[in-house]
Amino acid sequence: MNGSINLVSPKNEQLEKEQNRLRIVRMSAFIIMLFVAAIAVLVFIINLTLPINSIKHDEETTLSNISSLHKKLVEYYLVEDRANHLSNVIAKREKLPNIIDALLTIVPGELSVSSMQVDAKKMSLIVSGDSLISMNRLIDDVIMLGAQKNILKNVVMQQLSLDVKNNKYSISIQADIK
Amino acid sequence: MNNIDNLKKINVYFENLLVLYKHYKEFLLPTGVILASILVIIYIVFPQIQQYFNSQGLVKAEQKKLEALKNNYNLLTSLDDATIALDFKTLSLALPAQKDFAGIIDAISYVSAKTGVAVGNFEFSLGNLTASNFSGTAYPSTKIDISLRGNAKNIANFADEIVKTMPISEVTTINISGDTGSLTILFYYKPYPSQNISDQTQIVPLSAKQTNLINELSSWNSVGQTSLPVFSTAPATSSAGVSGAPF
Repeated sequence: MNGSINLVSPKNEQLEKEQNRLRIVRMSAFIIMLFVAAIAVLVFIINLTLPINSIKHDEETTLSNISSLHKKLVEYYLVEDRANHLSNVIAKREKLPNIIDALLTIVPGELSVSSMQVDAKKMSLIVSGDSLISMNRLIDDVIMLGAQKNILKNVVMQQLSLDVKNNKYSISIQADIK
Repeated sequence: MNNIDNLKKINVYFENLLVLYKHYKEFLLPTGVILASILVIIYIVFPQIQQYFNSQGLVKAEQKKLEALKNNYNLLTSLDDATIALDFKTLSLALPAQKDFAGIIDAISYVSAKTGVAVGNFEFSLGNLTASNFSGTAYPSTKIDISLRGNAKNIANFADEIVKTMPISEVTTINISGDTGSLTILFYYKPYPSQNISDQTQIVPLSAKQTNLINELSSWNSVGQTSLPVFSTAPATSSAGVSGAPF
């Protein structure tokens, strides 16, 4: 005799499995439907509550307030514009008057300036007088303008000459502007 | 015979389908609901979420714009009309919108009298007079070569004073020989911005640097008169071209 013969019909078990599966599918469908509906309604409501219209309304109100101050707005805008441009021009322009001042300050009183030429890149100075000591002091001070005050560089003494007739020394100095 | 075989086959096929339908009939509705939910997600929920993010970006941009407008309005209401008009006049005298010959002559005469330097010949160099010449030139200028009579100290004073006199200028060369001298001076000008200024133009409070500059300019020598533009009280329309006047 075969002892492993199943006497209970497998149909009931199969049916139970089917019923279970059906229950799970139904439940899943219901949950998904509820979830999707909730999300759709929620997103719709959130979209409705975004305050775009009130912001636009505020913008229009503020703009109409500003339009009554249009002249002031234009003037102020141009004040800013001019101020910016003036700052740029002042920053970029050469400081030649300052260089001339610095050079004239160091020329001793006993000497007189015969010639002075200054542009953005170079300066040349011819000074005359009867004191070599003063001229020496002038050379020292010109060198100092390069070393300490950062105004000149490549200082060259071009010439030192004596006019015997008038008993006057003349010194010519050239330098590059920093 | 063949036809009969075919009919039999079709019959069997339909019978199979019927069996399957009867077997899975109960599953059809929930499966349909799941499929419909997926379609709702794809065609309704996702676009709505997308729209939410787009709208949020729009709200942020509009809020930023509104904030800028409110700042403009608050700034404008806090400003004194007379102060702005005075600042504008000062700055326009310092940096005219066009070649200011009268201002230049006035400045030279004033500085000459102030420093005791006699002015000899002078020569204007105007360059190209067409407006297109401004393109590529950040700051157009009128060049003037001027002969002076005076000692070195006075000529240096002249150069010192002319750069602190309106309209703004730059001394580019200085030649002194004995009691005569010559200067090359550039007098700058800058046309007003050609764009129309709308009410939505963002403005910011003047920086400390700009305020100091205006204070400094107030102490400069000023003798010229410049013609200031006449402002309209009506705001510029968005349809206005860029080549028009700013007012």
